[in-house]
Amino acid sequence: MDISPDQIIYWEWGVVTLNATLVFSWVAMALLAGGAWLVTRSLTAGPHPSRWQNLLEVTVLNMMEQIEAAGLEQPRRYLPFVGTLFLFIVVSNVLDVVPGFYAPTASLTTPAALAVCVFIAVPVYGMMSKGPMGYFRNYIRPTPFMLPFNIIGELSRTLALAIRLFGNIMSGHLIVAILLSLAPLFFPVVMQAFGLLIGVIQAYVFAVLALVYIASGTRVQRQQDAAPTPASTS
Amino acid sequence: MQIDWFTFGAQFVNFLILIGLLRRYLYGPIMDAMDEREHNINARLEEARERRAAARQQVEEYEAMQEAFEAERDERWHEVEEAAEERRRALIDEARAEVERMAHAWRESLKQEREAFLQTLAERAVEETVALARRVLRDLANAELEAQALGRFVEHLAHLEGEERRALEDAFAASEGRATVRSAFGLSDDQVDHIREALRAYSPADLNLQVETDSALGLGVTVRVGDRKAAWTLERYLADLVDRVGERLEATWKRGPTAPAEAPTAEPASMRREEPGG
Repeated sequence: MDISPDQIIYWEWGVVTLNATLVFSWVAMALLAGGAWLVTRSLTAGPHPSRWQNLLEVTVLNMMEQIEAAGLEQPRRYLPFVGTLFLFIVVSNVLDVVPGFYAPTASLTTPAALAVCVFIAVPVYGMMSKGPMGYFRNYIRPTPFMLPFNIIGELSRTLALAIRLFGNIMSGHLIVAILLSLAPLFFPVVMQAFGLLIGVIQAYVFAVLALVYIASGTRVQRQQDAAPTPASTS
Repeated sequence: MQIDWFTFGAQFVNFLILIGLLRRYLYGPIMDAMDEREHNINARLEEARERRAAARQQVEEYEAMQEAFEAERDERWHEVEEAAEERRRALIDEARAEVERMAHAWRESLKQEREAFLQTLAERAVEETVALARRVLRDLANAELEAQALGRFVEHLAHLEGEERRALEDAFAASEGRATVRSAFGLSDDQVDHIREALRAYSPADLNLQVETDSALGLGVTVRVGDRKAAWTLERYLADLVDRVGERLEATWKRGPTAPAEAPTAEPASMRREEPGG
């Protein structure tokens, strides 16, 4: 039994291996980009958009609302990163129910790569907001002694982010595989449906956590900026 | 569980590529479309606001026009009412004047009819009275009554004044004292003397008095001197009486029917130029 799609290798040349993770990542990417291209080919600004355009608009609008709800003031700046995270993960997870499709997120490599992206994006967005010095000063607050703990916290939450997604998706596979050997009829179907729900929830959790980390990178700045004001009650 | 670092790096790059792709084909176009739609909606809302403002302004204008129209209509209505009231009063006054005029005309007509009736009545009364007097006097006429009339005539002759006296004197002068006395009954000598005595005062020459009897004369005496005639006859007396009564009645009716009428009196005798058939 294959636990990770990394181990399904279609082609190999030295260190370059073409495994299922990459292939099905490309499938998901092709679906997303191709679908978006097909829909946005014939966009209309009139009062009666097509159903697919409506779907995309609703999706984009809701993602922007979530970004705003996280406390970020310029959702358009964060939408490409956070929205792509959510869409890629949710498409990968949902396609997992298709027979023969291996979700890339079921491999630790993909969540790890995504988590590293978040790990990089947090300081990048932080520095975009306040500049490099303003951002890195957060690591020595409230005292420089907190610098190691802050670094450890940064690393550990990235690791947790990766492991959480991987564990949930991989476990879904594993549970279905185990149940197939115990009760081959009906019950695995229920678990597959449950896996769909879990996949969507995990995509949402991953994206929202990324959002929260990014927001925390900028919110600290704002709190510090607002601190000298004596009338501030925050 | 191992991490395939090539796959790790490839996934990292894949994710960056996907961000670029979605940014190019999803977020950009969708956001642009939504922005454009929002802009369009805002533009339409703004246009709707402008149109609503324009409509409200038009409504206000029309309301103002309607108020002005109603005010003008009320004013016109008031004017029409006043004109109608004025016309009504004029018609009523006119009708009243017409009724007054008709009533006045009717009263006038009534008054004239009454006056005419009274005049006719008076004239008939006079005529009847005169006719009665004439018949009575004719029936009673005799020498005695003629003597009375002669006495009255002689007395009148003796006291002629002014114009009548001069006329008689001229007539005597022209006829050289000739005069003719005529009566219905024969005159006695005394009576003739009385007449002669009375006439002597007017004749410068000697009197040549001729006495005649004419039964057609009825009651009365006439004295002809040339073309002049002095007489007292019943016919002439009554004719004078009728003339005077007629004159008095006419004068009375002209003054008003209610004015007291003076009783007409007939002169017993008069000097006048002799008229044919007189």
